[in-house]
Amino acid sequence: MTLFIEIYIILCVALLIFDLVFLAVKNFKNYEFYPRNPAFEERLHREILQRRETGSFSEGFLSELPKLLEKTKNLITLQTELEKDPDAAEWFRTTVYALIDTYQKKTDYEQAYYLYVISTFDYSTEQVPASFSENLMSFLDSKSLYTFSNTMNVLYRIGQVNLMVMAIDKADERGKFYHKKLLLDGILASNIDLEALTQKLVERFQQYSPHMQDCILDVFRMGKGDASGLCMQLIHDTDTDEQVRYSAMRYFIKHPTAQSREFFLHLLENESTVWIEQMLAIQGLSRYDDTAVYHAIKRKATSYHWHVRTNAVEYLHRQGISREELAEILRTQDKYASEALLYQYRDDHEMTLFIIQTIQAITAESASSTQESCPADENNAVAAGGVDA
Amino acid sequence: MFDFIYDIVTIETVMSLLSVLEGFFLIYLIGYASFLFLSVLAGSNQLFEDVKKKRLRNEIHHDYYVPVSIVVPAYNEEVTIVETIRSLLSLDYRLYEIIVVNDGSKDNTGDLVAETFGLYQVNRPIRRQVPCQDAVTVYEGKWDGKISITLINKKNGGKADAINMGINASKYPYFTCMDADSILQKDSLTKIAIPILENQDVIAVGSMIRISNDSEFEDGELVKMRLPKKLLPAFQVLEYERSFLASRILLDKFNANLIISGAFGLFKKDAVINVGGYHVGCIGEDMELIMKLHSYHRANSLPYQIKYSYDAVCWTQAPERLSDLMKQRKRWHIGLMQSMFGHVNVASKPSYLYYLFYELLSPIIELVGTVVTVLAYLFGLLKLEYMLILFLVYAVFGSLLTVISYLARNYLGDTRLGFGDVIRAFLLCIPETIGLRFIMAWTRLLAIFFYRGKKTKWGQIKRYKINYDSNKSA
Repeated sequence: MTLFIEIYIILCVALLIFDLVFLAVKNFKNYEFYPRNPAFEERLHREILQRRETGSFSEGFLSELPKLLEKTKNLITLQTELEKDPDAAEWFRTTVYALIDTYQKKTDYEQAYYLYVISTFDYSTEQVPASFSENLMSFLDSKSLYTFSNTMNVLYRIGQVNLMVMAIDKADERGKFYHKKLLLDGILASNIDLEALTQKLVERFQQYSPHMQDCILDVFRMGKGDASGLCMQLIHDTDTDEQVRYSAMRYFIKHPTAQSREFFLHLLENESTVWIEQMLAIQGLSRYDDTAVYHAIKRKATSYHWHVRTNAVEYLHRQGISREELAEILRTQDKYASEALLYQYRDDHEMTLFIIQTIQAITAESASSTQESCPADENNAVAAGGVDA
Repeated sequence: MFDFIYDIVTIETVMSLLSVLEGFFLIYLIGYASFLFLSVLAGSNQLFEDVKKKRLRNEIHHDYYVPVSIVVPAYNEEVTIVETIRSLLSLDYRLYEIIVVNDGSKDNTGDLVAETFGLYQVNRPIRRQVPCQDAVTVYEGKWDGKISITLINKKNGGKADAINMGINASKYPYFTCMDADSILQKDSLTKIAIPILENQDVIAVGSMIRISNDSEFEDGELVKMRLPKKLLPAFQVLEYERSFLASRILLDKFNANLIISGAFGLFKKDAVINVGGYHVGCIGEDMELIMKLHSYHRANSLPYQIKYSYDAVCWTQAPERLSDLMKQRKRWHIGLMQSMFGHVNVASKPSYLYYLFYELLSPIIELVGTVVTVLAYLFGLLKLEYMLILFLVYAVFGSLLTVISYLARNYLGDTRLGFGDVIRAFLLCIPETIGLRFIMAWTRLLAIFFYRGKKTKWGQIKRYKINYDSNKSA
């Protein structure tokens, strides 16, 4: 037993010492990334000032700089200076581009930092050299999510269609890379020519995985460019992945066509259409107000399914449904449709009152007709305590 | 008739039994020491790595937000609810809604929320996707024309039932649930959403719960972190920092966290609906949900991740009275017991065994272990000095790791401590390890032995007004 106690004591002491040493070493190593190099900092500051005043750096500075920036801590110092004086970035970008081979051999963290620095440059006036962009794409193969993410940020800033298509190919090869929203928002916020990108992606669409196809369809939907031909083909093809097909349908909510109108109308008229397709069809027809569409959607106000019903009611409200037609729906005594209508008109006091009064009148009417037709039943129910006052 | 007992129960058999039990107890302690060490090591390593990551911009820097519904279940929370909602309105996040579910409070909670935030009554139908009691009235409004606030007054059904109502009423694909007496740090929603942006398989994210007693806030941001003056909350600060920094970060690396605190967690709504929402009638509804999520995704071979984001911080009030603390811990332990026995199919996960031996059964094992150690000394199996050294090493080891966790969390994170607090942490860590742990072990033991089936009532501890904005209160 004493042996166990001795083991326990030795273990605890050893673990504690290890922990303290580990923390001290880690702390010391992290200092590397908080460079205190006042000489380099001061020199950078001086050189930037001189460049601004005289139009050139001092002799020898540019030839020494690449060697200095090979050290990550110096790159951090440079970036800190550039964040204070963003206009100066353009004087250093060529030197920083030239460091790509050096940083490719460094740790994931340092690679990602290098890419971050690149992503802060302004690409609206000056493009990157072709040799640099080739090397840049290889960072997308990194296992590090942050290296990947920072590379994508550089590509969004550069805004070249070909590079973006290559990046999408690589991202698809990686499988699920990160939330598709990041790719979508990144592309939409980039300087890229969305029409040209759409055209390229439409051509290559079938080679992507369903996950990427879904993401690309979001780009089509939210961006510019015409993908209606492809989307129409996808929604008719029953072999297409379900989610991809629904995404293709969503495209027509924002970009409706005569063909999509016919397709959605057909879906609504078909009784066996699944709820999600009915809902998408209503959304896809929401910009139309012709009689055929109006009546097809009106029928769905009493749908069994929540989303179908609420979308239909929302459409009718937007179209300014008449009181007679409202009463017609209420007369079906569909409790859920009445609820949905009441909520839809929550900001319209007069209509709310009308709906409530109509419901009350219909309920009273129906109660009196039930009483007339089978008074014995009600008596039984009262006797059993079954009537809810 | 029972003479055979005397043949069996001899001094020799008792002594061998004691030896075996003491051996088991020591192995248990070695296991605990190793786990604690590994957790603190993994936790502090993570903190160091994150400092480096931030410095080298290895982060998903996003202007891209996933829309989130914040569900605030409330029962008799008139003292804190308004400040809690105010803290939510100043969150540094673009797209979210707030849903307050008043679970049949007997006080003025509902009216206070409706009046303070200018909500108006609506006839809103609520789609039942997970079970809950009926809504009585629904109020809606927009704060600053941007953030939608919904108040649902419903029949009393317990916390799980109230959150289920919030899920039903929410309109966004992700939701967070939080306690009505808690404060979310301004950047907490941004931070908790990052794991979701990093990996689409993430279905839930836990947060770091920290204790707000005596700390000062300004406009939802911590301005002064203080170790509470009162002993009991101060002990809990040390306990929380150890637990949330250490074990959860380690378990997170293996997708093995079985708890996301009910005080603040982010969930993918579909995933929660698929498992039927929160279990109404269960005391530890937060743990039960996570067990269900693990169980469901494993049974159906679905890819999933349950993550822990230690820098998404939620500030909560710690009980200041021992009776409140004991009540709270009893509830937690019963919740743990219900969840673990209800999901034995997760038992193949190593973390399940950790929770079984080092959480659920620990009070029994520790009690038996202490008794056996004393008996071993009395029977001459153990020398007095060994027994004393054993207890001393146990106390010092646990205490030092607690202090390391506390200091690492504060110095490597975004909070700073005063010198006095550091000294107090050193002074309090041993009484915390021996005193609080002992009391909690006793409380949990009572919870196990006097467990009499389900209780679905809300846990009520004495609430104090939150010092949310020290400028205003001053």
